[in-house]
Amino acid sequence: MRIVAVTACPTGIAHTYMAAEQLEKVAKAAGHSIRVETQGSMGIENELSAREIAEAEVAIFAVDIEVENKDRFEGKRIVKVRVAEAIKNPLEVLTRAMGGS
Amino acid sequence: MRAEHRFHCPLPNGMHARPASLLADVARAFRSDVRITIDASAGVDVTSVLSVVALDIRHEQECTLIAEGDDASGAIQALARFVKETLPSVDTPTTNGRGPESDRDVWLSPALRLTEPKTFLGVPVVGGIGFGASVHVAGFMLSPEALRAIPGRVEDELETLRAAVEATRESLSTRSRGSRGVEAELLSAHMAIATDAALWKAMEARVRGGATAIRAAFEACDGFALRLRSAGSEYIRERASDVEEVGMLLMSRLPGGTGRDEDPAIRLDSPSVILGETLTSHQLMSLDRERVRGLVLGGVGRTSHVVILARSFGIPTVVGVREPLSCARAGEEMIVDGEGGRVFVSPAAGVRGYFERERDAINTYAERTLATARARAQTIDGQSVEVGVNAASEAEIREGLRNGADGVGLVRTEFLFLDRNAPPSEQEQFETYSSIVRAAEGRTVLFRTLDIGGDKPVAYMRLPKEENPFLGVRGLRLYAAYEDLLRSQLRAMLRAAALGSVKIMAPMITTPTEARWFRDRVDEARRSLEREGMHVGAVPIGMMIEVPSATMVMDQFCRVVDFFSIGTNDLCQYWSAADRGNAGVASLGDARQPSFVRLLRGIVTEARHHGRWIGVCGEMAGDAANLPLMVGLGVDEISVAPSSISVLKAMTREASGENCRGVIEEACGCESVSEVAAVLARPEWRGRASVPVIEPSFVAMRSEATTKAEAIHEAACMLRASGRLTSTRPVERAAWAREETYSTGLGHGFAIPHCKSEAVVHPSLAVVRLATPIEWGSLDEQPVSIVMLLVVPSGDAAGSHMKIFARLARRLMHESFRDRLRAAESAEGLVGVLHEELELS
Repeated sequence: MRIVAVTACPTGIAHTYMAAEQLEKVAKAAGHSIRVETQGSMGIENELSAREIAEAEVAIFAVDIEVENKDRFEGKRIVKVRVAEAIKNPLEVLTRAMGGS
Repeated sequence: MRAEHRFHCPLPNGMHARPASLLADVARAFRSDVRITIDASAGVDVTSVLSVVALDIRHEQECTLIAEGDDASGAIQALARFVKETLPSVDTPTTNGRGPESDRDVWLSPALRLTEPKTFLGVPVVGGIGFGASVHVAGFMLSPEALRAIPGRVEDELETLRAAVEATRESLSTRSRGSRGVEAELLSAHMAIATDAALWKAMEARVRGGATAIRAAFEACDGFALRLRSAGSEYIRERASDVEEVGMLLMSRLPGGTGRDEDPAIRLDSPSVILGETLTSHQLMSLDRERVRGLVLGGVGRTSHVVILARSFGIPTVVGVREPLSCARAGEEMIVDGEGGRVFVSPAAGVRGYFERERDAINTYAERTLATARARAQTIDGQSVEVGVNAASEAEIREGLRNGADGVGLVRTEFLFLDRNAPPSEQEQFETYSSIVRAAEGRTVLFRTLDIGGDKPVAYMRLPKEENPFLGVRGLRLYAAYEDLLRSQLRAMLRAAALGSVKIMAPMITTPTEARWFRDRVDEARRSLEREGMHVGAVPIGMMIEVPSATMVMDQFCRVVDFFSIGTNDLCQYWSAADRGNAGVASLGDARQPSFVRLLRGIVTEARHHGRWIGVCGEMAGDAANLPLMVGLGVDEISVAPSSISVLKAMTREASGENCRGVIEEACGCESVSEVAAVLARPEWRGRASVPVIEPSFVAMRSEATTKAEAIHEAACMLRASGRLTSTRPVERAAWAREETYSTGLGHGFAIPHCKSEAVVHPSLAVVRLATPIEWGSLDEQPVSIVMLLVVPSGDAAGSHMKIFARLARRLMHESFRDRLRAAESAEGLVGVLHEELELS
């Protein structure tokens, strides 16, 4: 399954990246392809292209603040969770994202 | 006769007591009446310090000095010189980074909140943490007895008052002889107020109106203090406390006061914290400095003298506390938090521990900066540059040493010869030069013999009337006509050389013949001393390079002198044929012009080729923007004003000698001053010194902390001790703010509290490994054993360090990484793991 994700926490120093790391870990372990865009204090990194978003089956927002350029995801199935959730229970988040397709 | 001088007040804080009393000193040496005015009125008597201060002269305000009398023109000349040369540097810097009342930081660390401490708020004005028992101090007021007292005969009360003024003046004079620096100036400013004519008139008027001496003194001082408080400048408003202090001194010697003929002194038996509505600087100075650990004051201004003194003594001080005397009983244990602006009474063990940790961190950092300031300045690629201080007084030398001066690069000895009617004797010179050598504490002192010419009148020398004194008989050219004077100078310097390390040089040397002549005079002086039984060791003899023609025969000079010092001010003027003081040609005389840089390069190359020491003592060296040029030229030393020293040393440590040589090449190829300035402004002269994110001293391998608050504070204190934080409080606060949104405990026994703050100097990481795991409200609800505090400067959004933290955050999600951190056996080992895993440079 093709997954895209965005992580974003308020201070943008640590949790943003931890959530990204967790999601990447569990998705790869389950055999999915995943691309995570981080919106942290360094700005937007690993930005998702329009094509990547179009080809993905689901988008995961692990965020505590508003996602920047959210309109890119118009029409996409979005699973939104808190950053802490993605860090603590990444597998559950992934399962939720997969279910309902 | 009448003469005038108009000028603009150069003092940022206006004309307050200290500069006013110095101005009064200059005026008093003349017979003429001197007045100062800021408008068309007649103005006030310059010798009345209070009247001058009450004029409330602001920064940049136009003032006119008017002298009337037979020596009016001499008086105005001296005053004009004082205003131009001395007045601008009279102010002590009062910036302490503290803001006004609105800076009150109400936030209290959770580490302290838990114990519900008894604490009071104030405004921090002198940093640091102080521990001591409280001591109460009374302020400026009339006691009830004094109020009730019945006055005697007017003449008797006046006599009593006169005696008190005289006794106060005497006491201040004695104490000022034994003190120096800020203290000495303060005492003399107060002496000026105590003997002020306008003050006496006010007191006399009150006595004649029926008041007792003590009441007259109180009311007169109170009246002046009131006038000062309504001034426009904040600084002058706070000078009101100076007048009150003098009032207290007078009152203590009058019936109804303490009754004892001495200053109101306070005895301390143990480490103490002083509590009072006000505290006079005299009271502070009379205290046992070892025992004063903190000051807690009420209505005392941030720039008042007592605060300036407290800062120079390093005593943590909090002002603006409401009713300080009711904060604690006498003898109660207190902690003064000069960082956060709080006072704690009868603190619990936890509070004590918290502040002791901070105090230790602050002290560690203070020791380190002292050590680095004193250390040689070396570029990243190992090129050493001495930074010396230019001085004409012991005070400047001391200030220079405090800022890390490696030596005294220039002593302008003409200060001893000007403004007097007869030349100083050899003995007087010897005493002055000796005290300078002693003040340098073993560092080398470079004396320059008398540098004067037709432009500066000297009463006892018949200097030629020249059309063009700057191209005339000046500096060394004058010596042949005044050999006795020169001999007394040289003898005095050679004698002083026995007390330390001394070098001697002459100004304005044009030819090798002149250099030889000077050397011969030194040898003669030396022989005359030896005939008297005095042995003089080897003293290097050198010359100033300021005459352009000399720069073409450097090889010939190298055979005669031991060293050179480039006087860029005059050298550049003569080089470009442009007078620095002439606005019409000022830009032509800019030292950054390519031809001048080429000249300097040539001079230094020659000197190096012949193995001669060469330094730079002109203004060009003191300008931080030119540092890359100085380093690139490869001079041995630059000698500058005291205040520039630490900055120049710090910049040198960031520079790359090789890159600076590149800057010189580029500058020499430029075609204008602005091109050179552009080259200097680019950052290429710096080396790529990376400041590491973590060092072994940022790691606590086995902490005894038992709460989250303690762990965070401990981590912050480690960073404070290394100067990564300018203050722990704001960082603690920001980390807690972050903590409140949700826990930074990410599970598996790890927590990464983090924050952005203005108090962070450089992105850093501190690690605390706990002996006992702590509850952290973690995601997996397990206690935490390893705390990693990440801090970044505010405003610094992007940067390679953020990448490092991002990498750290990601790696922490992997058990293998966490295992390595848990297993590390030493701080160095742990830092090593981080370097590897995070690819730190």
